[in-house]
Amino acid sequence: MLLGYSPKARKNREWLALLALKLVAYVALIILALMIFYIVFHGFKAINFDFLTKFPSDFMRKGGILPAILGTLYLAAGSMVVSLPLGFGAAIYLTDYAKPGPLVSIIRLGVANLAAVPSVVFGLFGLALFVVGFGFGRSLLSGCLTLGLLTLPTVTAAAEEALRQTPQSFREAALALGANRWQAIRQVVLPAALPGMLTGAILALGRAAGETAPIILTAAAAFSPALPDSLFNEVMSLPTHIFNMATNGAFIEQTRVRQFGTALVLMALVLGLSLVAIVIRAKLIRRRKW
Amino acid sequence: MKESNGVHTINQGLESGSKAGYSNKIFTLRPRLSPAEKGSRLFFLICAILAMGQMFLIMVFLFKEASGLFISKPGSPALSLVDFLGRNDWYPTYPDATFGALALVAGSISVALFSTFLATPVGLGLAAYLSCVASQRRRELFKPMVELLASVPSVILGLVGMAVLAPFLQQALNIPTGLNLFNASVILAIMAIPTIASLAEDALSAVPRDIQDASYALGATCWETIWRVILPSAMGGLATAVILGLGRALGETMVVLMVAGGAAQIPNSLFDSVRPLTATLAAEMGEAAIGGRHYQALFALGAVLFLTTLAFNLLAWHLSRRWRGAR
Amino acid sequence: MTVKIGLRGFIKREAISRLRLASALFLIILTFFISPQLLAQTKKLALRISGSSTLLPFVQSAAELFCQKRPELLLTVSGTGTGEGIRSLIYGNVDIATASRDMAEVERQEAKQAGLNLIKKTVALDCLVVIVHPSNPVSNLTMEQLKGLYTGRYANWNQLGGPDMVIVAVNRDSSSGTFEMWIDKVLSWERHRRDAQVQSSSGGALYAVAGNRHAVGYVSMGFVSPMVKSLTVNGVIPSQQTVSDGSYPISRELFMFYNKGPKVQVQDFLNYLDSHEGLDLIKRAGFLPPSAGLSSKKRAIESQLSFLSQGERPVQNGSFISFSATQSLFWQGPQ
Repeated sequence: MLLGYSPKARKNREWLALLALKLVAYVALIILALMIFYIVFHGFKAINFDFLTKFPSDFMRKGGILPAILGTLYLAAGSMVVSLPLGFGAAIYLTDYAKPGPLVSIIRLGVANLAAVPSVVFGLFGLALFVVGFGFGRSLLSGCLTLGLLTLPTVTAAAEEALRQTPQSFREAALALGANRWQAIRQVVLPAALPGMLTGAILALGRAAGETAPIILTAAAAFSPALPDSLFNEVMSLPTHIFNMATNGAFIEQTRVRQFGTALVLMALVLGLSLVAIVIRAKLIRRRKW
Repeated sequence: MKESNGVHTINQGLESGSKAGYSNKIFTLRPRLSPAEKGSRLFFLICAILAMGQMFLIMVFLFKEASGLFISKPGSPALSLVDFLGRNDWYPTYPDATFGALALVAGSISVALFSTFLATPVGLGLAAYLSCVASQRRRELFKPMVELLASVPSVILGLVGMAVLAPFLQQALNIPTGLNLFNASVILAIMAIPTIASLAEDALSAVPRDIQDASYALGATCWETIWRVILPSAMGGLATAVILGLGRALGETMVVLMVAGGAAQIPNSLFDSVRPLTATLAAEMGEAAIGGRHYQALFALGAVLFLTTLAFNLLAWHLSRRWRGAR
Repeated sequence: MTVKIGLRGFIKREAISRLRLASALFLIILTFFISPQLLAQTKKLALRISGSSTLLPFVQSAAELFCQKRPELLLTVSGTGTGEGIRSLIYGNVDIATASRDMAEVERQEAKQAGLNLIKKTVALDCLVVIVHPSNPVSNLTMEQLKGLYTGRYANWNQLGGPDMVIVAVNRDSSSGTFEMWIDKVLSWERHRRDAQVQSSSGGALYAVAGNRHAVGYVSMGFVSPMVKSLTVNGVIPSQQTVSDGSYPISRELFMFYNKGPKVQVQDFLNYLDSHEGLDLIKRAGFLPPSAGLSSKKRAIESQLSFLSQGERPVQNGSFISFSATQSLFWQGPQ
């Protein structure tokens, strides 16, 4: 029935194949959606004002996750301080300054490969270079630097993409008006490309907030009853807090609801950032006139 | 202009790399150089070199820290590479410690392969559905959804694996432990599906509209067009997507650390616990004394991991270039 | 100047200002997150503690209460492993290293090279309790049998007088002092079986055994709960008394290492642990106060009694129920 090329066989085959494709797609999306729903449903039970604004206490069974939330924000924001200037600078060099040649190819290949290096390897690197090599210890500073390097390829790739989509004619027009290259970039190319570049940065921010393994190796404290007050303090963070409660605590079952609550907060943060980026990008594509 | 997608991966880097052929000719006319001009140029060059030089730094550090393990010194005999990767005796904390990492490598490979095996059909099916079958409206709804799911942090998926899937598996199948190869692979597959789907969807959409239209004009059905026309011409991109998915599964840490069970053995069945490389790194780095043999062995594992993912990446790069050339 | 105006006219003026606004906002938000804390003038006194995961829950609760008394201190606690703690102490990254084993010779030499004068303080006594699923009829194992269990000589419970089912051995991660002690005292450094499950904490091991009919595991005495059945070893019940008089074979001391130096807060914290409140916390975490090991049997029994009565009054932060349940079962010994 399904073999051969008679009209009927072709029609059956068509019907069956499309059904299978639809089924696969729907099942995949439903499984993924169910998982999210499960986390939201169970996490929501833990969330209240205290949970978001108090310090954890009594072996994590009471109190809240404030230091973990702030720690994650510090780490993510700090990583951007490292990766944005470097990433944007590298992207500008690649699109507007570099002449095509072996150097550019190597740089581009290096950046592309870095994007696929496992995050735990970045953790090892951060441990060897910042924690031990520079003697920063396990600290906010080491964590920010490590995460900054980790997100650098993402930032660079996104910024390069955005810069490339700015039409060549913009640059030509600016130069024709007598601007030099730096002026053309600063006043014409960058304003046009910046929203696209920032979209990439927001995605990178989300990634930095969700990374766990590098933080375990370079920055994380299991528990701190006060907020960090210098770059050399260890910090708590949402991902490591989830990890610690789920594997290291004395009360793994009792803190289950809190684990999901923390997971929900982290997911809301990361997915919220991604959503913002996606919406900005959709708007940009619609509004773009070139 | 091709619209960018949310998952910024090597693909885009490579994509733009291929466009490097057109240079900004206008800039090569060399206008006069002011100090600001020179300064900014230098700054950007430094940024670019740092961005890339990081890769060599990582390599240098991994090899430097790892080298002590393979070089003989008084008090610490050298370990041969064959012993390191070929023997199954990972007992790093014993006084007469042995560092045969075969079981760890086997754990990594088995988890990565099985999860890719699970994720590939689903991911490619999802991509085919999104790019060829779905209506415009559904496509606009589902595509961002897939992208969003790609950014769920892995520690959350690990938590789901530990708290939900593991007890379920243990009860349903009556096996000794729910934290095993199978569980880790399923969770990793869930993680890899959005990545594979997103990359594969890009590859499918890049197939020129003309040849699809030609296929329809010849009387081919929708499925025949997908199977006979779109799929073959997007093969390079699809292979790249799967290889990158595999590389990602190899490098993923938190899921396998939380869910794979952690027993350093070569798995006999799908329901055995394993201890992949990445999990070993994250779990044992806290213990190892700096500069000690355990520390060096862990860095050697990191180097193995780094080189493997690098090889996968170069392979994907090579494939996507070759196929593009053929098209 | 004309160039500038010309350039600006190139894109809509409005669009530029919006972009400027957006990027300025972004920067402001960034600095908001980064600066206020980090640039603050008044630095809190840091007290950093790291090390054994066995002691982590106890140190956490002690740190929490100590911080309430001394709000000017900034305590951070992490428990990634005894080795990590000692290493961080030698490198000057922490002030106190908690340890579930003594310092290794290598570590001692490193400390000496770094010119440190490290002091060891015994903070608690602990023993490892062998646990199985409550449905398991086996109630006693000899040291020899335990060794066989964990080296893989036994594969089925019927070899040990139990029903015909596979043995699942639950092990601890090699970075834990608990694991090291187990390998030392029970296995005498023979290679452990490869298929043993690895749990990264005592809590994890407890739940792994509680949820698995086939399983056998070992946890620190503070973690034993009604969810599992604890076994006698060589016929000796693990209890305060048998640990104190040394008849229970798998017991140990838990330590804190610190550098004798100018930091007052370190000594303050350690004094706090010696105070009545600190000893209370040790008991509530399920360990024995260090004095129990030195004292006579009578004093051990006394502290056991005071411990039981302590469990009966509601503890301030509500841990009363689970703790008393844990302890009462433990002190009755295995049925």
